[in-house]
Amino acid sequence: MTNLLDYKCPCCGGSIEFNSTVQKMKCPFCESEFEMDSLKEMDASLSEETTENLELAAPETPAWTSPELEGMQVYLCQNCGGEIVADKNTGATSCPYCDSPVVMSGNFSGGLKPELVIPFKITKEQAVEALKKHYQGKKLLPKVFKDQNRIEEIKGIYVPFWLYDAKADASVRYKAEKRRRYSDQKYDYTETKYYSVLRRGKIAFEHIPADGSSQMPDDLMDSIEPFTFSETVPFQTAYLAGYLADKYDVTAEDNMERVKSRMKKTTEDEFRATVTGYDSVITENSNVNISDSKTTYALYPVWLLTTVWNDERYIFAMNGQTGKFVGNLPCDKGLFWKYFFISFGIGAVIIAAIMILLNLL
Amino acid sequence: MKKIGKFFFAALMSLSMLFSLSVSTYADNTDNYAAASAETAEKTEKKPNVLIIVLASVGGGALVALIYTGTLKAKLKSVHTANQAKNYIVNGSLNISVSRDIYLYRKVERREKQSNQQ
Repeated sequence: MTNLLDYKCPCCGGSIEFNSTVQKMKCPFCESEFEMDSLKEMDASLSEETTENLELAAPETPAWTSPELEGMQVYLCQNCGGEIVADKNTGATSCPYCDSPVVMSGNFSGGLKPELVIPFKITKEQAVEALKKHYQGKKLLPKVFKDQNRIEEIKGIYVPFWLYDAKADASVRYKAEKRRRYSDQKYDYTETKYYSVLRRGKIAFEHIPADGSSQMPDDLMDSIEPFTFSETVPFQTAYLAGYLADKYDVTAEDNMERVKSRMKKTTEDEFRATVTGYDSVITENSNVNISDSKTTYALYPVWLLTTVWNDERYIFAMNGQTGKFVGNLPCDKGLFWKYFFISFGIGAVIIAAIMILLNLL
Repeated sequence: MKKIGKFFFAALMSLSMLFSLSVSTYADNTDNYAAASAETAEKTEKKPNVLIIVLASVGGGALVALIYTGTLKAKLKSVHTANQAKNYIVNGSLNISVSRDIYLYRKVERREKQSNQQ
Protein backbone atom coordinates (compact mmCIF):
# COMPACT_ATOMS: atom_id res chain seq x y z
CA MET A 1 0.00 0.00 0.00
CA THR A 2 1.12 3.53 -0.62
CA ASN A 3 2.39 5.72 2.16
CA LEU A 4 -0.20 7.97 3.66
CA LEU A 5 0.80 11.29 5.12
CA ASP A 6 -0.82 12.18 8.40
CA TYR A 7 0.60 15.39 9.80
CA LYS A 8 0.77 15.08 13.60
CA CYS A 9 0.86 18.04 15.94
CA PRO A 10 4.17 18.05 17.87
CA CYS A 11 2.35 19.53 20.88
CA CYS A 12 -0.62 17.25 21.37
CA GLY A 13 -0.34 14.54 18.71
CA GLY A 14 -3.58 15.47 16.99
CA SER A 15 -3.93 15.60 13.22
CA ILE A 16 -3.15 19.05 11.87
CA GLU A 17 -4.61 20.53 8.70
CA PHE A 18 -4.13 23.61 6.47
CA ASN A 19 -6.18 26.58 7.72
CA SER A 20 -7.23 28.94 4.93
CA THR A 21 -7.86 31.86 7.32
CA VAL A 22 -4.32 32.09 8.73
CA GLN A 23 -2.67 30.40 5.71
CA LYS A 24 -0.72 28.05 7.97
CA MET A 25 -0.96 24.52 9.27
CA LYS A 26 -3.09 24.56 12.42
CA CYS A 27 -4.02 21.97 15.03
CA PRO A 28 -7.78 22.03 15.60
CA PHE A 29 -7.28 20.54 19.09
CA CYS A 30 -4.64 22.72 20.72
CA GLU A 31 -4.81 25.68 18.31
CA SER A 32 -1.05 25.53 17.63
CA GLU A 33 0.05 27.01 14.32
CA PHE A 34 3.01 25.91 12.20
CA GLU A 35 4.79 27.63 9.35
CA MET A 36 4.86 25.88 5.99
CA ASP A 37 8.66 26.05 5.94
CA SER A 38 8.88 23.92 9.03
CA LEU A 39 7.11 21.12 7.17
CA LYS A 40 9.44 21.26 4.18
CA GLU A 41 11.76 18.74 5.80
CA MET A 42 8.89 16.29 5.84
CA ASP A 43 8.36 16.85 2.13
CA ALA A 44 12.09 16.38 1.51
CA SER A 45 11.81 12.89 2.95
CA LEU A 46 8.96 12.18 0.53
CA SER A 47 11.13 13.00 -2.46
CA GLU A 48 13.57 10.27 -1.48
CA GLU A 49 10.86 7.68 -1.63
CA THR A 50 10.53 5.61 -4.77
CA THR A 51 7.26 5.19 -6.54
CA GLU A 52 5.50 2.05 -5.49
CA ASN A 53 3.48 -0.20 -7.65
CA LEU A 54 0.21 -0.39 -5.89
CA GLU A 55 -1.46 -3.72 -5.73
CA LEU A 56 -4.98 -4.33 -4.86
CA ALA A 57 -5.52 -6.36 -1.75
CA ALA A 58 -5.73 -10.01 -2.71
CA PRO A 59 -9.37 -10.92 -2.76
CA GLU A 60 -10.29 -13.53 -0.25
CA THR A 61 -13.90 -13.74 -1.28
CA PRO A 62 -15.43 -13.87 -4.77
CA ALA A 63 -16.88 -10.38 -4.19
CA TRP A 64 -13.40 -8.76 -4.47
CA THR A 65 -12.93 -10.00 -8.02
CA SER A 66 -15.78 -7.82 -9.27
CA PRO A 67 -14.87 -5.53 -12.22
CA GLU A 68 -16.02 -2.65 -10.02
CA LEU A 69 -12.66 -2.81 -8.26
CA GLU A 70 -10.87 -1.62 -11.38
CA GLY A 71 -9.77 1.94 -10.77
CA MET A 72 -10.11 1.57 -6.99
CA GLN A 73 -7.31 1.25 -4.48
CA VAL A 74 -7.15 0.41 -0.80
CA TYR A 75 -5.19 2.47 1.69
CA LEU A 76 -4.51 1.96 5.37
CA CYS A 77 -5.10 4.88 7.71
CA GLN A 78 -1.99 5.40 9.81
CA ASN A 79 -4.01 7.01 12.59
CA CYS A 80 -6.55 4.29 13.32
CA GLY A 81 -5.59 1.44 10.99
CA GLY A 82 -8.86 1.58 9.11
CA GLU A 83 -8.98 0.54 5.46
CA ILE A 84 -9.89 3.29 3.04
CA VAL A 85 -11.15 2.31 -0.39
CA ALA A 86 -10.75 5.20 -2.77
CA ASP A 87 -10.52 5.98 -6.46
CA LYS A 88 -7.02 5.45 -7.87
CA ASN A 89 -6.84 9.18 -8.67
CA THR A 90 -7.64 10.28 -5.12
CA GLY A 91 -4.80 12.32 -3.69
CA ALA A 92 -6.19 13.47 -0.37
CA THR A 93 -9.21 12.53 1.65
CA SER A 94 -10.30 11.93 5.21
CA CYS A 95 -10.51 8.63 7.00
CA PRO A 96 -14.17 7.59 7.25
CA TYR A 97 -13.50 6.02 10.68
CA CYS A 98 -11.49 8.64 12.55
CA ASP A 99 -11.97 11.63 10.22
CA SER A 100 -8.21 12.25 10.08
CA PRO A 101 -7.07 14.11 6.98
CA VAL A 102 -4.82 11.85 4.91
CA VAL A 103 -2.71 12.50 1.83
CA MET A 104 -1.86 9.72 -0.64
CA SER A 105 1.67 10.86 -1.30
CA GLY A 106 2.20 8.39 -4.12
CA ASN A 107 -0.27 10.30 -6.26
CA PHE A 108 1.70 13.53 -5.88
CA SER A 109 5.28 12.38 -6.23
CA GLY A 110 7.72 11.91 -9.06
CA GLY A 111 6.21 12.72 -12.42
CA LEU A 112 2.81 13.31 -10.85
CA LYS A 113 3.93 16.10 -8.56
CA PRO A 114 2.18 19.42 -9.19
CA GLU A 115 4.45 22.42 -9.61
CA LEU A 116 2.09 24.96 -8.12
CA VAL A 117 -0.91 25.23 -5.86
CA ILE A 118 -3.30 28.02 -4.90
CA PRO A 119 -4.15 27.48 -1.22
CA PHE A 120 -7.74 27.80 -0.11
CA LYS A 121 -8.65 31.39 0.76
CA ILE A 122 -12.38 30.83 1.33
CA THR A 123 -13.47 28.94 4.45
CA LYS A 124 -16.25 26.36 4.56
CA GLU A 125 -18.50 28.80 6.45
CA GLN A 126 -18.04 31.40 3.73
CA ALA A 127 -18.80 28.76 1.10
CA VAL A 128 -22.03 27.78 2.87
CA GLU A 129 -23.06 31.46 3.09
CA ALA A 130 -22.33 31.92 -0.58
CA LEU A 131 -24.49 28.94 -1.47
CA LYS A 132 -27.39 30.35 0.56
CA LYS A 133 -26.92 33.70 -1.21
CA HIS A 134 -26.92 31.88 -4.57
CA TYR A 135 -30.47 30.73 -3.85
CA GLN A 136 -31.73 34.23 -3.09
CA GLY A 137 -33.76 36.14 -5.64
CA LYS A 138 -34.54 33.05 -7.71
CA LYS A 139 -38.32 33.19 -7.99
CA LEU A 140 -38.60 29.99 -10.05
CA LEU A 141 -36.48 27.89 -7.65
CA PRO A 142 -38.57 25.15 -5.98
CA LYS A 143 -38.80 25.85 -2.26
CA VAL A 144 -38.37 22.18 -1.41
CA PHE A 145 -35.00 22.17 -3.24
CA LYS A 146 -33.63 24.77 -0.82
CA ASP A 147 -34.96 22.87 2.17
CA GLN A 148 -33.66 19.45 1.09
CA ASN A 149 -30.23 20.63 0.01
CA ARG A 150 -27.58 19.32 2.39
CA ILE A 151 -25.50 22.45 2.43
CA GLU A 152 -23.18 21.26 5.16
CA GLU A 153 -21.92 18.47 2.91
CA ILE A 154 -20.06 21.01 0.78
CA LYS A 155 -16.49 19.76 0.30
CA GLY A 156 -13.23 21.57 -0.35
CA ILE A 157 -11.29 19.86 -3.11
CA TYR A 158 -8.05 20.65 -4.92
CA VAL A 159 -8.81 20.14 -8.59
CA PRO A 160 -5.92 19.31 -10.93
CA PHE A 161 -5.49 21.92 -13.66
CA TRP A 162 -3.18 22.25 -16.62
CA LEU A 163 -2.02 25.84 -17.20
CA TYR A 164 -1.09 26.69 -20.77
CA ASP A 165 1.30 29.40 -21.99
CA ALA A 166 1.58 29.97 -25.72
CA LYS A 167 2.10 32.50 -28.48
CA ALA A 168 -0.22 33.03 -31.40
CA ASP A 169 0.78 34.29 -34.84
CA ALA A 170 -2.19 35.43 -36.84
CA SER A 171 -2.99 36.76 -40.28
CA VAL A 172 -6.58 37.84 -40.81
CA ARG A 173 -8.17 39.35 -43.90
CA TYR A 174 -11.44 41.27 -43.81
CA LYS A 175 -13.86 42.80 -46.28
CA ALA A 176 -14.98 46.20 -45.03
CA GLU A 177 -17.52 48.77 -46.23
CA LYS A 178 -18.04 52.48 -45.73
CA ARG A 179 -21.44 53.92 -46.57
CA ARG A 180 -22.46 57.47 -47.29
CA ARG A 181 -25.96 58.75 -47.96
CA TYR A 182 -26.89 61.97 -49.73
CA SER A 183 -29.69 63.26 -51.92
CA ASP A 184 -30.73 65.87 -54.42
CA GLN A 185 -34.15 67.04 -55.61
CA LYS A 186 -35.00 63.91 -57.53
CA TYR A 187 -33.00 61.02 -55.96
CA ASP A 188 -31.70 59.54 -52.70
CA TYR A 189 -28.15 58.17 -53.15
CA THR A 190 -26.25 55.48 -51.21
CA GLU A 191 -22.54 55.33 -51.95
CA THR A 192 -20.70 52.20 -50.72
CA LYS A 193 -16.91 51.96 -50.77
CA TYR A 194 -15.35 48.50 -50.47
CA TYR A 195 -12.00 47.79 -48.81
CA SER A 196 -9.75 44.79 -48.32
CA VAL A 197 -8.25 44.95 -44.81
CA LEU A 198 -5.28 42.90 -43.66
CA ARG A 199 -3.99 42.50 -40.11
CA ARG A 200 -0.94 40.41 -39.26
CA GLY A 201 0.76 40.13 -35.88
CA LYS A 202 1.37 38.28 -32.65
CA ILE A 203 -0.21 37.90 -29.25
CA ALA A 204 0.83 35.91 -26.17
CA PHE A 205 -1.21 34.04 -23.56
CA GLU A 206 -0.28 32.73 -20.15
CA HIS A 207 -1.79 30.41 -17.53
CA ILE A 208 -4.94 29.46 -19.44
CA PRO A 209 -6.49 26.82 -17.16
CA ALA A 210 -8.11 23.58 -18.25
CA ASP A 211 -9.08 21.03 -15.63
CA GLY A 212 -7.29 17.70 -15.67
CA SER A 213 -10.00 15.65 -14.02
CA SER A 214 -12.58 13.67 -15.95
CA GLN A 215 -14.85 13.82 -12.87
CA MET A 216 -15.15 17.62 -13.04
CA PRO A 217 -17.49 18.98 -15.73
CA ASP A 218 -15.46 21.25 -18.00
CA ASP A 219 -18.15 23.91 -18.23
CA LEU A 220 -18.42 24.08 -14.43
CA MET A 221 -14.67 24.61 -14.06
CA ASP A 222 -14.74 27.22 -16.87
CA SER A 223 -17.50 29.10 -15.06
CA ILE A 224 -15.56 29.65 -11.82
CA GLU A 225 -12.67 31.33 -13.67
CA PRO A 226 -10.62 33.40 -13.39
CA PHE A 227 -8.08 32.35 -10.78
CA THR A 228 -5.44 34.88 -9.74
CA PHE A 229 -2.19 33.25 -10.78
CA SER A 230 -0.03 35.64 -8.77
CA GLU A 231 -1.22 33.92 -5.59
CA THR A 232 0.14 30.50 -6.56
CA VAL A 233 2.86 29.00 -4.36
CA PRO A 234 5.23 26.06 -4.88
CA PHE A 235 3.41 22.81 -4.15
CA GLN A 236 3.68 21.13 -0.80
CA THR A 237 1.58 18.16 0.25
CA ALA A 238 0.84 19.90 3.54
CA TYR A 239 -1.57 22.25 1.79
CA LEU A 240 -3.81 19.28 1.00
CA ALA A 241 -4.39 18.25 4.60
CA GLY A 242 -8.00 18.83 5.56
CA TYR A 243 -9.21 18.89 1.98
CA LEU A 244 -9.89 16.40 -0.77
CA ALA A 245 -7.61 16.22 -3.77
CA ASP A 246 -7.37 14.29 -7.00
CA LYS A 247 -4.46 13.73 -9.30
CA TYR A 248 -5.01 14.32 -13.00
CA ASP A 249 -6.48 11.67 -15.28
CA VAL A 250 -6.85 13.96 -18.30
CA THR A 251 -3.49 14.75 -19.85
CA ALA A 252 -2.32 18.12 -21.11
CA GLU A 253 -2.50 16.83 -24.68
CA ASP A 254 -6.14 15.84 -24.23
CA ASN A 255 -7.05 19.43 -23.31
CA MET A 256 -4.90 21.07 -25.98
CA GLU A 257 -7.60 21.39 -28.65
CA ARG A 258 -10.02 23.07 -26.28
CA VAL A 259 -7.40 25.58 -25.15
CA LYS A 260 -6.25 26.24 -28.71
CA SER A 261 -9.85 27.01 -29.66
CA ARG A 262 -10.05 29.62 -26.88
CA MET A 263 -6.77 31.20 -27.98
CA LYS A 264 -7.86 31.30 -31.62
CA LYS A 265 -11.19 32.97 -30.79
CA THR A 266 -9.54 35.59 -28.58
CA THR A 267 -6.83 36.30 -31.16
CA GLU A 268 -9.46 36.85 -33.83
CA ASP A 269 -11.45 39.15 -31.51
CA GLU A 270 -8.38 41.22 -30.60
CA PHE A 271 -7.35 41.61 -34.23
CA ARG A 272 -10.92 42.48 -35.22
CA ALA A 273 -10.94 45.26 -32.63
CA THR A 274 -8.09 46.98 -34.54
CA VAL A 275 -10.28 47.36 -37.66
CA THR A 276 -12.13 50.59 -37.02
CA GLY A 277 -13.87 53.31 -38.99
CA TYR A 278 -16.05 51.05 -41.12
CA ASP A 279 -19.79 50.50 -41.24
CA SER A 280 -19.47 46.78 -41.87
CA VAL A 281 -16.59 44.31 -41.45
CA ILE A 282 -16.69 40.64 -42.47
CA THR A 283 -13.85 38.18 -41.90
CA GLU A 284 -12.84 36.58 -45.18
CA ASN A 285 -9.89 34.49 -44.06
CA SER A 286 -8.30 33.76 -40.68
CA ASN A 287 -5.02 31.95 -40.11
CA VAL A 288 -3.88 31.50 -36.48
CA ASN A 289 -0.78 29.48 -35.56
CA ILE A 290 -0.06 28.51 -31.96
CA SER A 291 3.58 28.06 -30.97
CA ASP A 292 5.97 28.02 -28.00
CA SER A 293 3.39 26.25 -25.86
CA LYS A 294 4.26 25.27 -22.31
CA THR A 295 2.16 23.51 -19.71
CA THR A 296 2.28 23.64 -15.93
CA TYR A 297 0.52 21.22 -13.60
CA ALA A 298 -1.20 22.95 -10.69
CA LEU A 299 -3.87 22.34 -8.08
CA TYR A 300 -6.61 24.94 -7.74
CA PRO A 301 -9.04 25.17 -4.81
CA VAL A 302 -12.74 24.56 -5.39
CA TRP A 303 -15.64 24.15 -2.98
CA LEU A 304 -18.01 21.55 -4.39
CA LEU A 305 -21.50 20.36 -3.55
CA THR A 306 -23.30 17.62 -5.47
CA THR A 307 -26.96 17.04 -4.86
CA VAL A 308 -29.63 14.86 -6.48
CA TRP A 309 -33.17 16.18 -6.77
CA ASN A 310 -35.99 14.64 -8.76
CA ASP A 311 -33.51 12.12 -10.22
CA GLU A 312 -31.36 14.91 -11.62
CA ARG A 313 -27.84 15.71 -10.47
CA TYR A 314 -26.99 19.31 -9.61
CA ILE A 315 -23.40 20.40 -8.98
CA PHE A 316 -22.45 23.69 -7.37
CA ALA A 317 -18.91 24.98 -7.41
CA MET A 318 -17.21 27.91 -5.77
CA ASN A 319 -13.79 29.29 -6.62
CA GLY A 320 -11.87 28.63 -3.39
CA GLN A 321 -9.69 31.68 -4.02
CA THR A 322 -12.03 34.42 -5.26
CA GLY A 323 -15.38 33.20 -3.96
CA LYS A 324 -17.16 33.14 -7.35
CA PHE A 325 -20.14 30.79 -7.04
CA VAL A 326 -21.85 28.97 -9.92
CA GLY A 327 -24.33 26.18 -10.38
CA ASN A 328 -27.46 25.60 -12.44
CA LEU A 329 -30.66 25.45 -10.44
CA PRO A 330 -33.89 23.57 -11.20
CA CYS A 331 -37.00 25.37 -12.42
CA ASP A 332 -40.39 24.88 -10.76
CA LYS A 333 -42.78 24.46 -13.71
CA GLY A 334 -45.80 25.37 -11.60
CA LEU A 335 -44.24 28.67 -10.54
CA PHE A 336 -43.14 29.31 -14.15
CA TRP A 337 -46.71 29.11 -15.49
CA LYS A 338 -48.07 31.05 -12.54
CA TYR A 339 -45.75 34.00 -13.28
CA PHE A 340 -46.38 33.59 -17.00
CA PHE A 341 -50.14 33.99 -16.71
CA ILE A 342 -49.92 36.82 -14.18
CA SER A 343 -47.56 38.84 -16.39
CA PHE A 344 -49.63 37.93 -19.46
CA GLY A 345 -52.79 39.28 -17.81
CA ILE A 346 -51.14 42.49 -16.64
CA GLY A 347 -49.47 43.08 -20.03
CA ALA A 348 -52.68 42.44 -21.99
CA VAL A 349 -54.75 44.79 -19.80
CA ILE A 350 -52.21 47.61 -20.07
CA ILE A 351 -51.90 47.28 -23.85
CA ALA A 352 -55.68 47.18 -24.28
CA ALA A 353 -56.11 50.27 -22.09
CA ILE A 354 -53.48 52.18 -24.06
CA MET A 355 -55.06 51.26 -27.39
CA ILE A 356 -58.57 52.28 -26.25
CA LEU A 357 -57.26 55.61 -24.96
CA LEU A 358 -55.48 56.31 -28.24
CA ASN A 359 -58.63 55.44 -30.17
CA LEU A 360 -60.75 57.85 -28.14
CA LEU A 361 -58.26 60.66 -28.52
CA MET B 1 -87.90 92.30 -84.93
CA LYS B 2 -88.95 93.44 -81.45
CA LYS B 3 -90.94 90.23 -80.98
CA ILE B 4 -87.95 88.10 -82.02
CA GLY B 5 -85.77 90.09 -79.64
CA LYS B 6 -88.23 89.61 -76.78
CA PHE B 7 -88.42 85.87 -77.56
CA PHE B 8 -84.66 85.50 -77.47
CA PHE B 9 -84.48 87.54 -74.28
CA ALA B 10 -87.12 85.34 -72.62
CA ALA B 11 -85.40 82.18 -73.79
CA LEU B 12 -82.11 83.47 -72.49
CA MET B 13 -83.65 84.34 -69.14
CA SER B 14 -85.30 80.93 -68.94
CA LEU B 15 -82.09 79.19 -69.75
CA SER B 16 -80.13 81.16 -67.15
CA MET B 17 -82.88 80.52 -64.56
CA LEU B 18 -82.79 76.84 -65.43
CA PHE B 19 -79.00 76.83 -65.16
CA SER B 20 -78.90 78.59 -61.81
CA LEU B 21 -81.61 76.24 -60.55
CA SER B 22 -79.60 73.19 -61.57
CA VAL B 23 -76.43 74.66 -60.07
CA SER B 24 -78.16 75.41 -56.81
CA THR B 25 -79.68 71.93 -56.81
CA TYR B 26 -76.25 70.49 -57.50
CA ALA B 27 -74.72 72.63 -54.77
CA ASP B 28 -77.41 71.62 -52.32
CA ASN B 29 -76.94 67.97 -53.18
CA THR B 30 -73.22 68.32 -52.82
CA ASP B 31 -73.67 69.94 -49.42
CA ASN B 32 -76.05 67.19 -48.37
CA TYR B 33 -73.60 64.53 -49.52
CA ALA B 34 -70.70 66.16 -47.69
CA ALA B 35 -72.72 66.42 -44.50
CA ALA B 36 -73.75 62.78 -44.73
CA SER B 37 -70.13 61.68 -45.37
CA ALA B 38 -68.89 63.66 -42.41
CA GLU B 39 -71.48 62.11 -40.20
CA THR B 40 -70.56 58.62 -41.38
CA ALA B 41 -66.83 59.29 -40.89
CA GLU B 42 -67.47 60.61 -37.43
CA LYS B 43 -69.42 57.53 -36.51
CA THR B 44 -66.69 55.29 -37.97
CA GLU B 45 -63.89 57.12 -36.13
CA LYS B 46 -65.50 56.97 -32.72
CA LYS B 47 -66.14 53.22 -32.77
CA PRO B 48 -62.98 51.24 -31.76
CA ASN B 49 -62.01 48.09 -33.68
CA VAL B 50 -62.48 45.50 -30.97
CA LEU B 51 -60.88 42.68 -32.90
CA ILE B 52 -57.62 44.58 -33.38
CA ILE B 53 -57.50 45.58 -29.72
CA VAL B 54 -58.06 42.00 -28.58
CA LEU B 55 -55.41 40.60 -30.93
CA ALA B 56 -52.89 43.26 -29.97
CA SER B 57 -53.55 42.71 -26.26
CA VAL B 58 -53.16 38.95 -26.51
CA GLY B 59 -50.02 39.20 -28.63
CA GLY B 60 -48.49 41.95 -26.55
CA GLY B 61 -49.39 40.23 -23.28
CA ALA B 62 -47.81 36.97 -24.46
CA LEU B 63 -44.65 38.84 -25.46
CA VAL B 64 -44.42 40.56 -22.08
CA ALA B 65 -44.98 37.24 -20.29
CA LEU B 66 -42.31 35.47 -22.35
CA ILE B 67 -39.75 38.20 -21.72
CA TYR B 68 -40.46 38.30 -17.97
CA THR B 69 -40.44 34.54 -17.38
CA GLY B 70 -37.49 34.12 -19.73
CA THR B 71 -35.52 36.59 -17.59
CA LEU B 72 -36.47 34.72 -14.41
CA LYS B 73 -35.45 31.38 -15.93
CA ALA B 74 -32.13 32.77 -17.19
CA LYS B 75 -31.22 33.68 -13.60
CA LEU B 76 -31.21 29.94 -12.76
CA LYS B 77 -28.40 29.24 -15.24
CA SER B 78 -24.86 30.26 -14.34
CA VAL B 79 -22.75 27.51 -15.89
CA HIS B 80 -21.32 28.02 -19.36
CA THR B 81 -18.38 26.85 -21.44
CA ALA B 82 -15.59 29.39 -21.86
CA ASN B 83 -14.87 30.02 -25.54
CA GLN B 84 -12.35 32.82 -25.15
CA ALA B 85 -9.24 33.59 -23.11
CA LYS B 86 -9.25 37.41 -22.78
CA ASN B 87 -8.29 37.22 -19.09
CA TYR B 88 -5.07 35.42 -19.99
CA ILE B 89 -3.56 37.76 -22.57
CA VAL B 90 -0.06 38.84 -21.59
CA ASN B 91 -0.21 42.60 -21.03
CA GLY B 92 1.14 44.52 -23.97
CA SER B 93 1.80 41.40 -26.03
CA LEU B 94 -0.53 42.31 -28.91
CA ASN B 95 1.74 43.42 -31.73
CA ILE B 96 0.26 44.17 -35.15
CA SER B 97 3.18 44.04 -37.58
CA VAL B 98 1.19 44.47 -40.80
CA SER B 99 -1.83 46.74 -41.08
CA ARG B 100 -3.14 47.35 -44.61
CA ASP B 101 -6.44 48.93 -45.64
CA ILE B 102 -6.76 48.75 -49.46
CA TYR B 103 -9.53 50.60 -51.29
CA LEU B 104 -11.11 48.34 -53.94
CA TYR B 105 -14.09 50.02 -55.61
CA ARG B 106 -17.26 51.94 -54.94
CA LYS B 107 -20.90 51.45 -55.85
CA VAL B 108 -23.62 54.09 -55.96
CA GLU B 109 -27.29 53.22 -55.72
CA ARG B 110 -30.03 55.76 -56.20
CA ARG B 111 -33.72 55.71 -55.52
CA GLU B 112 -36.20 58.15 -56.98
CA LYS B 113 -37.96 60.30 -54.44
CA GLN B 114 -41.74 59.82 -54.28
CA SER B 115 -43.53 62.95 -55.59
CA ASN B 116 -46.32 64.52 -53.45
CA GLN B 117 -49.87 63.86 -54.58
CA GLN B 118 -51.81 66.95 -55.46
